[in-house]
Amino acid sequence: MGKIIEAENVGYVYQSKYQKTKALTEVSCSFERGKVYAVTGKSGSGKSTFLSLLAGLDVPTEGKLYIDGKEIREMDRDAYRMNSASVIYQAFHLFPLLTVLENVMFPMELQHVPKKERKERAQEFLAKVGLPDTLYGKIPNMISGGEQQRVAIARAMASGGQILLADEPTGNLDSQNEAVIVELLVKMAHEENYAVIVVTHNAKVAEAADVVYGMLDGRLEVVRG
Amino acid sequence: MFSYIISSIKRRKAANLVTVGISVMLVLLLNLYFGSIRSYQDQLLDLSENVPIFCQITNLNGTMGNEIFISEEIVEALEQSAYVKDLSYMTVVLAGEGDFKDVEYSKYLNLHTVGANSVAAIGEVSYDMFSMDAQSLDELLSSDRMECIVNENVLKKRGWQIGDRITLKCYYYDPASEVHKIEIHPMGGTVELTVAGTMEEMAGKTNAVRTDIVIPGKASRNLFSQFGLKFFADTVTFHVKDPMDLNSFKEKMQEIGLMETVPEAGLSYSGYALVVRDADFIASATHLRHSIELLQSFRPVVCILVLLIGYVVSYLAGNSRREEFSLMRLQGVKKFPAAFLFLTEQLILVLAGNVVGDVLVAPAAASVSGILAVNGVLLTAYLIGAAAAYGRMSMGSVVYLLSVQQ
Repeated sequence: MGKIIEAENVGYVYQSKYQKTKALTEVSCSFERGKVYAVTGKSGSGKSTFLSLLAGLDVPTEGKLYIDGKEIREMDRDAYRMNSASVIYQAFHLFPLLTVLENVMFPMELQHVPKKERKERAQEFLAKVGLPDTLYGKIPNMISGGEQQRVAIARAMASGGQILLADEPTGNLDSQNEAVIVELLVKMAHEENYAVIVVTHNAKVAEAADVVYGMLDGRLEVVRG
Repeated sequence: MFSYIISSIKRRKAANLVTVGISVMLVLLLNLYFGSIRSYQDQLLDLSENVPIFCQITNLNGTMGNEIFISEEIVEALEQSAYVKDLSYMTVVLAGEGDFKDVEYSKYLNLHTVGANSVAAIGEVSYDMFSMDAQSLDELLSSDRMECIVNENVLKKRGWQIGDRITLKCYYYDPASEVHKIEIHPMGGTVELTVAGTMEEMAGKTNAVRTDIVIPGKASRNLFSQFGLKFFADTVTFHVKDPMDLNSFKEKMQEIGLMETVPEAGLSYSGYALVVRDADFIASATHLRHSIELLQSFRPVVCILVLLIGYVVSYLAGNSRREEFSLMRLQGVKKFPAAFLFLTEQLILVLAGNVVGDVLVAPAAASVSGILAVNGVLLTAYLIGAAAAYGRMSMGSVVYLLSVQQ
C-alpha cells in the first residue's frame, strides 16, 4: 500500500509577539490508506499541532510534509480539505443551523453534486454510521453527543477523501458511544480504505489502532507498529 | 451555498428579528433627525411668504404714514428696485365737477379723489366692496387708463351712470413753507374720465379716509405731468422681495435716499424715512436658524452613533457566527467566499429592516434622496462592522477559532 502522507523532519514553531515556542521537532513518519494510526501523548506535547499540519490548516516551519507525493506548501490546502481530508473534533463541530441530513449533504454541495444525488448519498452515509432516519431532520443540538459524532463521521465520508483526521473523537462520549465511534473509525480504515489518524489520550482508541505513535515534547516516536 | 443563507435566515428567527428591528429603528431615528432639519429649512425658505416684511414710507420722525409728500423719483426708484415687491402708492387730490371758476372753489371742490395703483393702496377696503371683479379691478388700477371708480352714493346723488364720461377740475395739495400747514392749488385745467365701476360707501365701515373717486395710479401721475406739476405720493407701502437678503435691501434703500426714522425730528410733512417692520421676521428667522444650527451641530454625533450602532450590531452578529465561519473554512471554503456568504446574509437582513423603515417613513418623507441617503449611511455602517468582524476572523487560524468555540 502506498504512503498517502509522508513527513520529513517536520518542525513547527509558534511565534507570538513576545516569544517563540517549539511545538514540533524533526517529526518524520508516514501514513498509509487502510490503517488506523493513533498519536498519543500528554496535553501540550504537540499532537493537535501535528494534526493541524496534516489537515492543511497550517504549514510546517521546518521540514517537508507530502500529501500524495505533493509538498503541502505547494498545494491548494482549501481544496485539499474539501476533497481529500476531513477532520472530526471532540466538540463535533457540526453546522448548528443545518439539520443532520443537511450537514452531511454540505461537503457534496461544495463539490457541486446534484441535489437529488447528494441527498441519496447523505442518507446512505448516515445509514452506514448507524443513525436512524428519524434523526435526519433534527438540528445537532437536539441529538446526543454520540449521535453528533456519528454525523461528523458521515460528513467526513461525504467529502469523498481518503484521509480522516480525528482530534480526541471520543473525548466527550460515554463508554458505549466511545466503542461505537472506535468501531466506525476502524471500519473506515479497513473496509473503506481510509487513512485514519487519531490524536487521543484514550487507551482503548490506541488499542484499536494498527500503528501507535507517541508524542513527547514535540518529538514523535513509534510505540507500536 | 445560498441555501445555507436561507436556512440560517429561517432558523435564527430571534437574532434576525433583532437585527431587522435595530435597522428599522435606526431608519426611523435618522429620518426623524434629517426630517426635522429639512422641516426647519423649509420653514425658513417659506418664511418670506408666511411672515412678509412690510415697509412704509413715513415722515421723518416716523409718526405719519400718510398725508406726506413722497416724490415721484422715490416711487420710480422703488418700482425699478429688485429688492421691492407689492409696491402700493396713493395720491390724494381734491376735485369738483365741471369747469368752475377758481374763485368758486369752495362751492364745487367736494370730491375726494384718490389715485391708487392697487386696492391695498386705498386703505382699509376689500375687493368685495367694488362692483368690478378682482381681476378687472387690478388691471384697471395698475393701468394708466383715464377711467374711474365712483362711490355709489356720489354716483346716485350726481345722477351718473357706469360708462358716463365726467369732467373734473382738480386741485393738488402742496406742503406750505410753514410747518404743519398744507395749501391747495389748482392743477391748471379739467380732465375727462369714464366711470368704469362703483364702490361702497366707506364711511362708518372702515377707518380709511373718505374716498369719492378712485383713478388708476399711473393715470394720476400722468395728470400731474400733463399740467407740468411734480407728482407726490401721499402713501407708499411695499414688501421686501427677499427677506433673507435684508442687509442688502437696507443698503439699497439708503442709496435711494430712504433713511431710518429720526425720532428726535419734529412733526413735519416734509422729509421722509423708511420704516421696516422686520421684527417678527427676524425673530422667526433667528429662532429657525438657531434650531437648524443646533440640530446640525449634532450631525457628527448622530452619524458617529449610527455608524457605531451599525458597526457594533454587525460586529457582534458576525462574531456569533465564528463557529460556522471556521467550519466553512474547515470544509475547504476559501476565506473570501465564506466571509461573503455571511456578509450577504447580514446585508439581506439590514436591507429588509431598511425597507420596512422606509415604508413606515415614506408618507412623511420629503424626498426620495433623503431616504436613500439614510439607507446608504446605515448600509455602510453595517457593512463596515460585518467586514471588520469577518476580516478579523479571516486573519485568525481556524484551529484557534474552533478551540475558542470549544
